[in-house]
Amino acid sequence: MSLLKEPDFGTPARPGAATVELTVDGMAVTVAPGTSVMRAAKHAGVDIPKLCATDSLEAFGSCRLCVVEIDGARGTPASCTTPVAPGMVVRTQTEKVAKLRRGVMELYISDHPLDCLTCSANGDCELQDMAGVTGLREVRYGSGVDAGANHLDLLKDTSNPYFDFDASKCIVCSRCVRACDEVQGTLALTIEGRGFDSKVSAGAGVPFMESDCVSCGACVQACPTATLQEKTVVELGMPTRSVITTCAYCGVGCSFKAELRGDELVRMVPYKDGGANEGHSCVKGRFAFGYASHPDRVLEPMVRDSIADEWRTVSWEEAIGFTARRLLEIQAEHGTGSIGAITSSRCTNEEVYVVQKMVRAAFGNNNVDTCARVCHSPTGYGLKQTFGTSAGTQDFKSVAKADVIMVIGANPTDGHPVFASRMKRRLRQGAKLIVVDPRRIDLVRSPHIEAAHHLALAPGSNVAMINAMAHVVVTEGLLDREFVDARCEDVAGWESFIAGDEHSPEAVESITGVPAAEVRAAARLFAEAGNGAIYYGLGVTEHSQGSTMVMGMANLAMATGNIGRDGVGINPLRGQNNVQGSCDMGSFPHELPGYRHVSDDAVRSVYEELWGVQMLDEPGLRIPNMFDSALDGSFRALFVQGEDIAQSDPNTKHVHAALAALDLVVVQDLFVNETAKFAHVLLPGTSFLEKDGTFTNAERRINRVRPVMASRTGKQEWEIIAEVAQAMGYPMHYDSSAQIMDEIALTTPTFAGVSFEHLDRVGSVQWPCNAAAPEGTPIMHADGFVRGKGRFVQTTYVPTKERSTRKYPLILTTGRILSQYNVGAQTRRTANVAWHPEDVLEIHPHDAEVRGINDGDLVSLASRVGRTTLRAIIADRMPVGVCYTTFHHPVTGANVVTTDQSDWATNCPEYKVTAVQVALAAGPVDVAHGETGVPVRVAVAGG
Amino acid sequence: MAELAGVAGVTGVAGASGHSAAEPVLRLAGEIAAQFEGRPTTETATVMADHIRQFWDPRMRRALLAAVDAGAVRDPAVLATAELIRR
Repeated sequence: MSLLKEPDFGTPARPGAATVELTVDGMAVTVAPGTSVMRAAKHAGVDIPKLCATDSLEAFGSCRLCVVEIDGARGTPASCTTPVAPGMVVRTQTEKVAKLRRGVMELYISDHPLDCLTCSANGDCELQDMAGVTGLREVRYGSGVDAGANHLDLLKDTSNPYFDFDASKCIVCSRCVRACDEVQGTLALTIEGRGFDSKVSAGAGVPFMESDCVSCGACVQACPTATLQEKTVVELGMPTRSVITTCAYCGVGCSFKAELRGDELVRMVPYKDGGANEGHSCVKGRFAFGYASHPDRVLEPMVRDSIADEWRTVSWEEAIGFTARRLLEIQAEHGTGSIGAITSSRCTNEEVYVVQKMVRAAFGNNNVDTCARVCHSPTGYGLKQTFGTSAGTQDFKSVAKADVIMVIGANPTDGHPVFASRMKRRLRQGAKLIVVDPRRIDLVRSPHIEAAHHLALAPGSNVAMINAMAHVVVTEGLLDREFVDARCEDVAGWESFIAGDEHSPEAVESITGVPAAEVRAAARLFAEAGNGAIYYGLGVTEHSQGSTMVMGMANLAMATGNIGRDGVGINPLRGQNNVQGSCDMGSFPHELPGYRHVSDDAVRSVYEELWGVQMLDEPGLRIPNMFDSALDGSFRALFVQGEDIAQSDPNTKHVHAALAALDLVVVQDLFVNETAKFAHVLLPGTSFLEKDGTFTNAERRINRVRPVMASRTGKQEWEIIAEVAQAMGYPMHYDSSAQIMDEIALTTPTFAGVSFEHLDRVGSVQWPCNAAAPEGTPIMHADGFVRGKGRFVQTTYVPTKERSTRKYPLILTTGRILSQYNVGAQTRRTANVAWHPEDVLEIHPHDAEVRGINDGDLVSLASRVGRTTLRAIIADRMPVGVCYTTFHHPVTGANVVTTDQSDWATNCPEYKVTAVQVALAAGPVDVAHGETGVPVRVAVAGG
Repeated sequence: MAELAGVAGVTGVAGASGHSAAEPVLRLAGEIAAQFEGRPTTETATVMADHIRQFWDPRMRRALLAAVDAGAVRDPAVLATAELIRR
């Protein structure tokens, strides 16, 4: 594919039917009311010159290059700011406007370095293009260094690791400032000074790295010149071809143009037609792709007989043969159920599908689970119980129609930044915001946004809080009676339950720590919203009552009639790129693809017939059960696809002991990760740039992942899985990943209409995609719930067993930050470490003061199960008694302190509540060797 | 046998390996039962048995039943659940 230049219509599209007819240069065109003349002209095939306009931003009207003549109108209006009118006659090429445009260009060029031939934007510069379009042949005021006063000696800001800011090339069109405002919503940039002194500035004149800039790249993308330019373009030159693919970071699943020179990736540019992101990006997807070519990549298979041995690099044949032989030997000795596998939410649907197929058909059991176990498994359980299917209800665009947005246990500006930008845009337009979170996350108060209510509840009290809100709805007559009577069941029992005094905001105030009046006000606001939408994250699911809370939110949404249309719904913000997809593909030990239980004879027979095997009708082991069974000796071998359980799963000591107890650990990954330290086989994996398949994002959108370059290992991951299965005696072969998707579509009703050919044609689809909905289903449960009627579930609040005590008086909660991702395997191998070189502990000033802790001190963090050492940051956004850290760096090992507590329904770990003590560390951390011989991070000393 | 911390009416059974196969299973059973506290035992047992059949690996169910047989469980809801699973 050659370099893809998307058409730029100059100004955004306007909603509504095309009803306004006009002519542009004699050509008739009909557009929606409110459309600009510039955009209408583009639809008519006429490009009007422009510099300050681009269709991702509202019209600004500053460059005066887009002037036109309109019959009956005075002067020469800017076409970008002039809306169309019925019967309008527009002339874009007249002698008058041509002269005006040349005059404007002359002024621009008189203060621009004329270094086009050596400029990094040569061939991709709109200023250069416009000079040509306007026919500029001379600059009467001099140019470059010969001109009068100019800006040519302004210094270049190279502080950002990914892009440069060369002020000497700036034409002050404000596109970067407006992109930061309108697209990203950070408002980090401004135009400093007036008139000739006007210049783009990051904050108060500080370098970009010291400003509020979040490096999303929107300004770089908007810049029409080389002023804001990717360093890779400066270093490598302009790319020459593009491949449209999908980001491999968070569950937003942004579409990108991977732009290359030959086989060298130069830059990732967000794709305007991407349904999830519509041309926006964050620092990870836009810039942090360098890990794919990092020297740490493992490119050849390795094996060893014992984890005490050195790795031996071997051929693919030997590695696959070794793996299959050992798996079969272990099964022969310890039984069919003694082996299993974990699928990865970072892998494609096709790769995940073949792993669960390997387990069910070649292993002959259901011991397959996925890393969603430790993040969103309660979402699957809770939404299936209440609505009938394990997925969010809306598309991302839906937030633009929300009147009240409730964000519960999520930090979108860090975890899901591109969706956060959409949300912030709606909030700036006036939608109300309720934040339910112990921490004062950035969204609570940011430029032009302030939460109407921040319910800073105590960690672990989610269910008490959501019940209290539902109590207000029911007891204050705010229930949507028409909706619940028509569309729900078990209503009366639930109403009676939730109306109980024990659920009142006053009764639970001592549990949640939130004043009852605030809860009542928030509940009323949500119930009377018009369109009320709930967005949530792992602060909901990673609790001992994660599933109960998901059902509690579903109850509230149904009670207020906020399901089944634009602007409402229950929306899980998925942590990893393919959490939704890995769950869809049958990764859970109790479900076949499409969330159908293994005990369903009719469903099982579909696979038994196709795969030629008898399948078990009993659920298999979940990840925590695998660990427990490894320790009791009934589970002996584990295949781990692209997940670093030794770092990411809770209670590291327990996980390490379980892994060390296994006879065989097979790791399929890009790097020798923490889990690989316990492995006997390392099968090198492929980065997203090498994969061919699909990801499914948090809005159920199935997007193509196209190979940008050939696999660096020589194989696709699904090929390796198929070869392991073959070597175990089960025939599995595919010619391509498209063939795997064909099998998924053949066997999974919600994917029946999906194929690579269909996706290549329409871009993406949201499941269900079948004969009834060939273009997919953006909004679910519109005419009825998947299960028939929505089911109200009585959600009793049960406190977690994890309690603070005199010995462990603080509660630790964990999460992620913008620049790093999950266990950091990818982002730690990029320049993103510039923002977050180590995990830190955020602690309230009061809690710090009583412990004698100052900002930046090294502190010991101890829980009932372990201890680690890290640096403290004093943060007044933390409530008293609660501290916070991330788990991006293995050297810190935050999960050394998290416990075995888990959700009652799904075993999802309770990462969000750990009783801890924090004290000044007496010394630095050290690496000691535990009983397994594997390095274990401990503090040498300290409180 | 030591009573499991925080799970009323359930005590642990250590296996031959030193690691108790029953301990995590019993803890989980106790936590599920706690979700339905206050409801009739038969109702709780029906829901729990259905949940356990749907989501627990057979060896976990066997571990629960073995613990019940060993007298390690006192919670009436868990005992009633075990009887339903056994049928």
